Parts: sequence; C-alpha cells; structure tokens
Amino acid sequence: MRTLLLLFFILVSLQLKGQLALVNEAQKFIQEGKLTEAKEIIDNASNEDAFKTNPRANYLKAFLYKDLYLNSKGASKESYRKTAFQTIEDAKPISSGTSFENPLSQLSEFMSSTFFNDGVDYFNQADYDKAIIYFDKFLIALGDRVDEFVLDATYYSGVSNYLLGNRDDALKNYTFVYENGYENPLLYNDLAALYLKNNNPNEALRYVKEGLSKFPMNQELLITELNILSQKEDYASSEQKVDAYISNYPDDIEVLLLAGTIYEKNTIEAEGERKTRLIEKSEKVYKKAVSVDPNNYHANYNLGVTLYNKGVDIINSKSYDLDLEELRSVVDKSNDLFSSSLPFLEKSLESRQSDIDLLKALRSIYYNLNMKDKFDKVDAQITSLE
Amino acid sequence: MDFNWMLFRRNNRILIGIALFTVVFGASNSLKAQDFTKSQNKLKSIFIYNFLKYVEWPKYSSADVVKICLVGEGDIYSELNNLAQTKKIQNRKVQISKIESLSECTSCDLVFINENTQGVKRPGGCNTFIVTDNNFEEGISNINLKYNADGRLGFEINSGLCEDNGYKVSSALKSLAF
Repeated sequence: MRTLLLLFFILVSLQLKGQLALVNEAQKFIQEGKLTEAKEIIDNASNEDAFKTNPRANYLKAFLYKDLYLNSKGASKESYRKTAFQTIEDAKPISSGTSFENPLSQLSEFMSSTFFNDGVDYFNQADYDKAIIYFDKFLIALGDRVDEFVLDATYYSGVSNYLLGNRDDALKNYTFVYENGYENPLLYNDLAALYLKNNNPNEALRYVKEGLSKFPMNQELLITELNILSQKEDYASSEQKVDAYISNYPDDIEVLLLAGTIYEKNTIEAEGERKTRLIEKSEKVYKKAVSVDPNNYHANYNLGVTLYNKGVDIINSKSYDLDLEELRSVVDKSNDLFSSSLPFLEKSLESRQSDIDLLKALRSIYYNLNMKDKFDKVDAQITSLE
Repeated sequence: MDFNWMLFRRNNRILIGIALFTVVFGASNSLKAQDFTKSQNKLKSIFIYNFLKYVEWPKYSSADVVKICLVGEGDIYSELNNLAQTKKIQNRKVQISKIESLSECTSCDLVFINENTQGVKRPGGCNTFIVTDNNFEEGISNINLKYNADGRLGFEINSGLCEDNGYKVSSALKSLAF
C-alpha cells in the first residue's frame, strides 16, 4: 500500500513538473507574441486536474485569451472574450490568498472594461440598442461597485434609452447616477429634457437651476433654461436672461438664434413700443448671426422672414383711413423691407428647396418686384409640391 | 517567474457627448412668413377707401349706403368687408357685394374688378367708377391699381374717362398717381 501511495506521489509530482514546464513554455510563447502556439499548449493542458488547480496556469490561460481577444476580429473575438471571463471566474477560488489574486482581479477589471469600450463605440456610432447591451454587460461584470465608469455607463445607457424613446428606463438610469453624485452638466440638461417631454416644465426648470448652481457657465444649461422659460411663457425672465447671455457670448450662433427666437416669441404678448423694440432686437441678433455664419440656414431664414414679416406688419397695423402721403410712405417702407428680405430668403432656399412657406413668400416678392423668371420658377415648384 | 511583464493599462474609450435638448431655433421654421396676399389686399382696400374719399361722385346709388361691387375671383372680399364694418363714406355705410358681370354695374357706386378677370366689357350707360387690379383696360378702368418697376403698389388714373363718367378726381390723388 505504501509502495502504491509512493508511486502515486511520484506520478503526481512528475505531472506537476510536466505542467510547470508546459506553463513556462506557454508563457514564453505569449511573451514572443506566438499566441497560436501558446493556445495549443494551454488548451491541451487545461483539461488536466493539475492545471485546473494551479492558480498560475489559470491566470496564464485567462491572460492568453485576453490577448487572443485583443488580437482577433469577427466571430472568434467574442468567443475568446467569453473564455477569458470563464477562466477568470474559475480561477478566483483557487487564487484567493495567492500572489495571483491581485493580478487576476486586474485582469478581470480589464476584461470588463472591454464591454464598456464596446458600449462606447456603439454609442458613438449611434447604435443605441447595442450600446445599452454592452453597457449592461459591463455593469453586470462589475457587480455592485459604483465608480466613475459605472456612472458613465449608466448615464450613457440613459442617454441611449432616451434617444430610443424608452423614457422610463432613461429616467431610472438618470436617477441612479444623480443619486450617486454624478458630476456632469449634461445630466441636468437631460433630466430637464426628459421632464419637459413628460410635460413637467417646473421639474425640468428645477433640475436646470440645480445644474446651473454647480456649473454656472455651462452653455447647454443656460440655453435649456431659456428654452424652458420660453415654453413656460415667462417672457420677462427669458428676455432678461437672453440679453445677459448675448453679452457673454456675443459671437455664439446658437445663443444669437435662440435670442432672436425668444424675442420673436415675446412679441406675441407685447404691444406698441415694446413690440417694436423686440422686433428690432430680433432683427439685430439675426443680422449678427448671419455675419457670424453667412451660410447658416436658420440665421438666413429667420432674418429674411423677420424683415419680410416686418414689411407685412407695417401694412396690417395701419387703419383704412390712412392719409395718402402716409399710404405712400407705408408702401415704400414695406417694399424696401420685402426687397431687403430677398437675399436672405434666397440663401435659405439653397438649403431647403421644398419649404412651401418660404417658396410662397418668395413668389409674392418676385411678383411684386417684377422678377418674372424667378416668379415662374418658384411658382412651378409650389405647384409641384402642392 | 516574474509576471510584471503582464501588467497592462486600462484604456477606456472616450464618449461623445450628445446634448439631448432640442433648442428652440431648431424649430425655427415655426417663424412663419405671414400672408403676403392678405397684406396686399389690405393695401388695396386702403387705396379704394382713399379713392372714395378723394373722388367726387356725381351721385350715389342710394341715400344711405355706398355700394362696392366685386367682379371676378379674388381674396379681397373679406378685407373690404372689414373696411365696411368700420368706415363710412359721406356719412353713408359701406356695403360690399359680388356681381357676376358689369351688366349689373348701375346698382353699384364702385366696381372692383379682380386681377386676371378676362373678357369684361363696360356696357353702354354704365358710368360706374371702375377700379381694375393690375389690368388696365381702355374704356373700362377709371383707376388701375398696379405695381411699378420697383414693386411698389400704386395706381394710374384715366382722367379722361373719369371726366366722361362725371367724376372729379382731386389734385391730391392725381399727384400720387403713376
């Protein structure tokens, strides 16, 4: 019996020595970048009991499959990642308390980060369904841990859900990162967008204000605040704030266009001198926007329509018993405005050939200015669109 | 065996931020070009009102109303109705009606012939003041509304026909004609 036990011991020792030699050989191949050779050795050895209980051999296998994953493409890539993860999981119990515990943990974290990176890549490619899948895999791999990457993955899952129209899921994601102290001004912006979509402008404004208290110069939040105030028809506040933003961002096309839109919206409630002043202000910011970006469709369209509408307003605001001289003056002023609107409307038509309102405005102006060829062309376009 | 060579660095991708909020200017086409035709009809109505003020009528068709009749298809009807509801001429109310042809002209104080109305003829005995729209017709138009080369809306007066029909056009109105 003792002889048998001794023989068994010698056999196991020889096997272990054999395993050690194989592991050393595989490691050498990995160092030399000969992954196929290393894989052959590791795969052959990994079914042996001695391999399964060896922390170093298992770590080496996980490491090898990590490298195979990184150096491959196509269907095999995913299979390598799966094996790497499985090997890490198998190795955890036998590595506990050994010198491989920490390297294995690092390797595990690295492999988890590949899910995060894939999620990011899909997100950046606007493939939001797949982005959510990979962010979720990343979060599952990390368990209950909460760090900046977990918050990023959760937040961008939220963004993906929002963009896919999954508002409830988006809100869950946003709420999680908000409650865990995620410091990103876009979060407040997105929460505001979400609540506004859910017809809750007060809650939207609350998040924007909280965001602005943390990121007072963040432009997205400043613009969102203006949008919400405008939607809430808080005309006085929106005008006051937009005036301040223009002085801070005098050449920012977005701020200029938003300002013009807010001034225009505010004219709905305004009368008399205040209305005239708001129209002048919107004309001024649109002119500035065109000078900042001469090819910008919105800047050209809004300036053209503002000048054109001003011409129409001059006529419509007059009473029927206008004195003859005044009538002549009204005709001259309105006509000058129609003429001055023309280049901006024509410029915006370059970008939107089938904008029926724009075409109709141009048709009227061409008619009045006796521009027959242009009139005929636009008239034919309108007919084909209608 | 040293495993230091196996250390690696985590290399996370950078996310591209997306601002989800659709800013208002993104929907700037909500800034609508107003109805140009409506404004032009308003101008034409103001002109017509001034013609009624600055031309002396030999007599009106009725003691208490001034009747404006419209011939042909056009959008000016509602605008002239607005005028009729708010204004008076020589202390008479203004009444707007549509007629099929100039054969009914004797019941009208002023006839407005819409643009693009073809084949209109002034019947014998019809001395009614006729305003045409961008379509001067010799023997028909007392006044023709027209756009000049700069696109300004104005009018031309057929002074001879006005005199023949018994209308006195004020010098103020004449001075503003093309």
